[in-house]
Amino acid sequence: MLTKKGAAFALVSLLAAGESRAATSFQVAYVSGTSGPAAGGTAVSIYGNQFVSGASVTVGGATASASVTSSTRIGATMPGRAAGALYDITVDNPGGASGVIPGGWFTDFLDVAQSSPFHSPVETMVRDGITSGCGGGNYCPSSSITRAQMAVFLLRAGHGSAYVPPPASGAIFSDVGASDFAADWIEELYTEGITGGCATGPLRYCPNNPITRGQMAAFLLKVYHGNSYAPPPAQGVFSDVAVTLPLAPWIEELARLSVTAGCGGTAYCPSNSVTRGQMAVFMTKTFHRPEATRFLEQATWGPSDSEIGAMLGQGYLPWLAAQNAAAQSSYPNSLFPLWPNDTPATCDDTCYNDNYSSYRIQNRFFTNALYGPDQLRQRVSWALHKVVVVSEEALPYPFEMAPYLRVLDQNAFGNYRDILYQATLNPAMGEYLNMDTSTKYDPNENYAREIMQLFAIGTELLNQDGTTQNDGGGKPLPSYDQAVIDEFKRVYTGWYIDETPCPAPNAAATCYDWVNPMSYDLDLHDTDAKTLFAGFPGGPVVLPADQSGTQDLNQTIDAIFNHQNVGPYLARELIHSLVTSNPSPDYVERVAGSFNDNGTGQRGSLWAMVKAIVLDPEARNEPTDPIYGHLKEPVLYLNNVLRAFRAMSEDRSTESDGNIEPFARELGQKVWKPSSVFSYYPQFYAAPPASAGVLGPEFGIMNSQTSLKRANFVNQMTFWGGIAADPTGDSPLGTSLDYSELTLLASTPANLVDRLNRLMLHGTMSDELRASIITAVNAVDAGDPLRRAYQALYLVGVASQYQVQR
Amino acid sequence: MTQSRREFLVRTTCAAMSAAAAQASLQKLGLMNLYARPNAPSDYRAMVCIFMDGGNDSNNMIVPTDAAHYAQYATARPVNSGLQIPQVGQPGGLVSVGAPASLGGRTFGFHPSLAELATLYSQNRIGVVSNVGPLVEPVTQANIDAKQTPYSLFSHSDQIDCWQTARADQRIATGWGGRAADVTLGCNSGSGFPTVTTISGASTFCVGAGQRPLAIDTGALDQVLVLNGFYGSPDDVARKTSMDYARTIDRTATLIAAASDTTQQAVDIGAALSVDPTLTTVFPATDLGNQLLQVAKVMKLNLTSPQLSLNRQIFYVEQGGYDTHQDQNTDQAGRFVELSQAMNAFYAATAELGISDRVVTFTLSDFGRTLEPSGDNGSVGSDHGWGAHHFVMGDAVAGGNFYGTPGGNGQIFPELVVGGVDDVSQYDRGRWIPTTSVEQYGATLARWFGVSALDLPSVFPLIGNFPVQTLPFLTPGTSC
Repeated sequence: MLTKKGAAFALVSLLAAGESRAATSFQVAYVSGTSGPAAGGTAVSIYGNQFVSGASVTVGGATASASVTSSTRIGATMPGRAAGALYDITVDNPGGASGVIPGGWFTDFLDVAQSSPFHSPVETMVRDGITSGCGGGNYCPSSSITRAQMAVFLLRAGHGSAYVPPPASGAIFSDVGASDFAADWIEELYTEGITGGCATGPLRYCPNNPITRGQMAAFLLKVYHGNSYAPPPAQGVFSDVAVTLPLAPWIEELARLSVTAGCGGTAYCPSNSVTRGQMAVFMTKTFHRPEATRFLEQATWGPSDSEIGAMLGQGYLPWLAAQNAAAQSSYPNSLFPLWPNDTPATCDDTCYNDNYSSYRIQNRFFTNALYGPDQLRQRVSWALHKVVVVSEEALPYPFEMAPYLRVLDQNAFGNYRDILYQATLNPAMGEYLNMDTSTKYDPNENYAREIMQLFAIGTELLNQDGTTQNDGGGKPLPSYDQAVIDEFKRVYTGWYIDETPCPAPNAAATCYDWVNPMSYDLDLHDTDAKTLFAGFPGGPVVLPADQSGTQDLNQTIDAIFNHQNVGPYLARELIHSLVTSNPSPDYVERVAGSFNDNGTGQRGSLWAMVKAIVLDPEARNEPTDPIYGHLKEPVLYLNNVLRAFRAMSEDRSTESDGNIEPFARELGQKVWKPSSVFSYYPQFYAAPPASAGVLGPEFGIMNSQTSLKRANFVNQMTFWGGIAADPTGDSPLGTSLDYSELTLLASTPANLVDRLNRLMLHGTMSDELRASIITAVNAVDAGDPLRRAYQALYLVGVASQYQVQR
Repeated sequence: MTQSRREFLVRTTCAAMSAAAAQASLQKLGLMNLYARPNAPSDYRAMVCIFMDGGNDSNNMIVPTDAAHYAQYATARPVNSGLQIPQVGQPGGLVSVGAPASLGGRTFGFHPSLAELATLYSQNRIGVVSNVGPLVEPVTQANIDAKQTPYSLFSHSDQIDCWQTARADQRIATGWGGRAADVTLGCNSGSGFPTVTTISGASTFCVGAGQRPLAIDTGALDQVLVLNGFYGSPDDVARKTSMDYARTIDRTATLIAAASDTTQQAVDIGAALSVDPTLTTVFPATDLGNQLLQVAKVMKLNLTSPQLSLNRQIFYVEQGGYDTHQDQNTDQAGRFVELSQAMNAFYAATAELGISDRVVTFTLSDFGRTLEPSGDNGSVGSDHGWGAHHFVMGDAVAGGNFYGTPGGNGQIFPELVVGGVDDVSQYDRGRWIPTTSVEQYGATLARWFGVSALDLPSVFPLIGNFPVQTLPFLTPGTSC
């Protein structure tokens, strides 16, 4: 029934107005799979908008075999091109628009195959314009690199590929004449204070000497930080690098940044020469930290130096593949076995806390986030939990929730139909939304309504770019009405939560079976015929009479899963959770396109969707749109702080116990316990001021009280020394951060703040904020480096720049 | 390093912040003009919502005591059901509140644990609104299948939403408290202090499209919005200076500015909550008592502090524990003692502040419960229902009477018969079809509060579906 819209929908219409700011237009956005053998034959996906069947693809002028699989994707097989170079990818719609991805395709060097550990860094070096190889389509990864070559590499890394140094004078180094190879570069390196030469009396540069690993450390970091940078004193990290060695501070900093782990065992091999392959790795890991950090802000529970290093060593696609394959942290049955719903009389306080309270399953959320290898799966699973909601409000016991959470974890990179089906029959969901008591005599419409409204479709018809479909008068077109729900509700009848013998230690008792899908009683199932989506898009779907409950359910889930809204609806929700509250319609359409067809004709692939979300240029490019980004929801904010500084137990001897939920609750987000099926905050909450019409759903739980609790959490982890271990309380081990590096940097506040800027803000801190924080750090006694570290971390942590991920 | 942390809380505008800096900070946010407002509100009105979480069984809260109707009640809830409240005069019996004018000669009693509320009722300071609940349009047992009824009846979360949003036809994100605040913002013009204050989280009731509600805990009012860890040392001062400055920069990105402004509001309100007012009235040291004490303290501060000086305020508090599927007699009695004592103290506090005629306190709950008991003897309770009775308190209320809309039995109080004329159907268990809608209940309160007749449909979009907009327990106030 259509009635007048209330105030809440003002937000929606504002959103729709905002979203219509850019009509979807033809564009060629990105290619997934950016390199391959020179011989050609690599299959790639080219993503964009408004591709038309028959569109052609050329790579550096050569025609690729291409097939338009949807308006947002072209499958192409790359033609052969000369090795070791970049080629533009051009897409031409038949008789129409044309677009280019400049340098979109890289042909592998003949001597650096896809399988080489140097491949991704070498490709990065070429894309950066730092090298074009050693000639003949080769890179010569095993050749050592001379100090003269290094000068060229470093200055291109520092100034960009187009940089041309001033002409050399030949008067600086006795062994570098004005017309010698790279003389201009070597003298500029001297002028910029990055090198002081290899010997004095007379001053020499030793241009033809191979560069050593030790020298390289200093060179890289001087370019990275600027020549005035002085690293903190060495602490003695490597067995073969004495703290008194002048290069030791540089080498140790390189290790702290996870650019290197040494040359094996505890050694660094500072005198060994560096190969061109190794150099590519070192340079990529040093100079591409901002992009990697920002990527990990979106794809993990927070960047850490080790993950930044790992990511840069592999490149995006291999990192994503590794995430897909990573062991699932999840909520295994072994940790959350069934217990009787009536607490056994023998269950004491500890037993109750462990098995009948949310304590352990909330802690598990945080230990998974802090230490689990499956970071991207966890982020996606959490995003799905906010869409397909079950809450501890109604399911307070961990053994009730864990199987539901496993459905999300196991299918986070799977197919969304499986989530819809498995969640529907999950007993916790059955209990939460009343399907378990719904019979043909008394059908409950709760689940029928929510699976459509919140899990898959939404109340209004959507275009594929996520904008609302309106009627001629500008009114949104509804997706369904009450009569449709009344028909659907008859499908979900006859299912109930079964009972099963309890596992040990309650083997004599009977438990509700929260683990297996709900059972079904034909006598209670409505077996009359049903017509789904009658009079609405997606219908009519007729379920004949006398079908089993499973037949009815499968056909119904198919009807919902195949509804035109699901792609854009889910795309919008996942983009909101991972990247930005205000995506462009083009971006939503590209991601929805990946849901509709993963490229091989399969609908519903979450893995295709997740890749489309994080690889899209709207996720990857530094934003210019002022409404881009999203407020970090409380759990993301907490985990970001904890992961950046290697949270461990209070005494740092072991992992944290994960008892962080009390802080999440104070920040307005009870983990696993959203206040309703509407999740933790309203989908369409506008960032204040609401009149601006900019979406900021997370602002729904950021208010006067919770905003200050954010700052108080950072205060807890800094000035108050972390979360104290309390052997008999809820934090038996406590939680603390690692200040070892920050205290080393504290003698130079600028270095301290710059370090935090890079790790916490991927280097985007404004000059004003930086200056203000440095002033505040300088106000702390230099003799108290820990307090200086607290001061700096507190001020970055509470800054709105850090609260909002952009 | 880790001990005694909690002893060192300081207010956000801690000693480290000079008066001049505080002034500058207020000026920036446009709060400075607070100082230009009169020292006291000129036309103060406040609504205080008490949400009884879990679904209060109002069948045992207010019971007919005339012989014929008590007999009906006793039939549905016989002694051996374990759910019967004894007659007036019996041990543990009902507290008589006499015969309300609206119900002819019929007499009623309150639950014995509501002694204070019975007294206030007898003093005409409390009215009863009977059988109110979420409706999309008027419904009777005869036409219920043809009419649109609220979504997801009998479901806690959904019926809470229906009560709080006053939209039983669809889910929306704003509540009628927040919307009432939106349309009466003009009454508070010039004040940066929010109209809505919640002591129990930003429930949907409080959310409007405009201002964000102030959310605070119980406890000393000058301690509820604090930044921990500032003790006034030079480096604390430097840190505070830097973070205050940081909220004024980097505002190009919309969401960064929004985060800064949200925090700034907290800091500014923290500054406005500069004292912890004291009241002579003693509040019970219960959860609800503490929440209502906090409300009274904010009211006192509002009356005395030029930084607030609001003409209109809305408050939200919550009392849990009403989902009495089992052990109802014990549990509900305990809840009622807490409710009665806390409301009584709160009324006294408004009298102490001289605003007992300017504050209306009212109850909401998920739903009523089945008249037919559930469970067996010893752990008896009742199940989820629909319509329920509620209290409205304050000297502006035409108290000492019952209000409502006649139902299946021709009277405003339902017939206490399982499967009777006021039940959802003749086969049901005593779930009352509401005869007064949440819209009408809320509209009566909102019109008194100052929502104009013109603005009423934007606060209660379904109000036009009902034959009358308001009930006569309050008279409309002036709008701004």
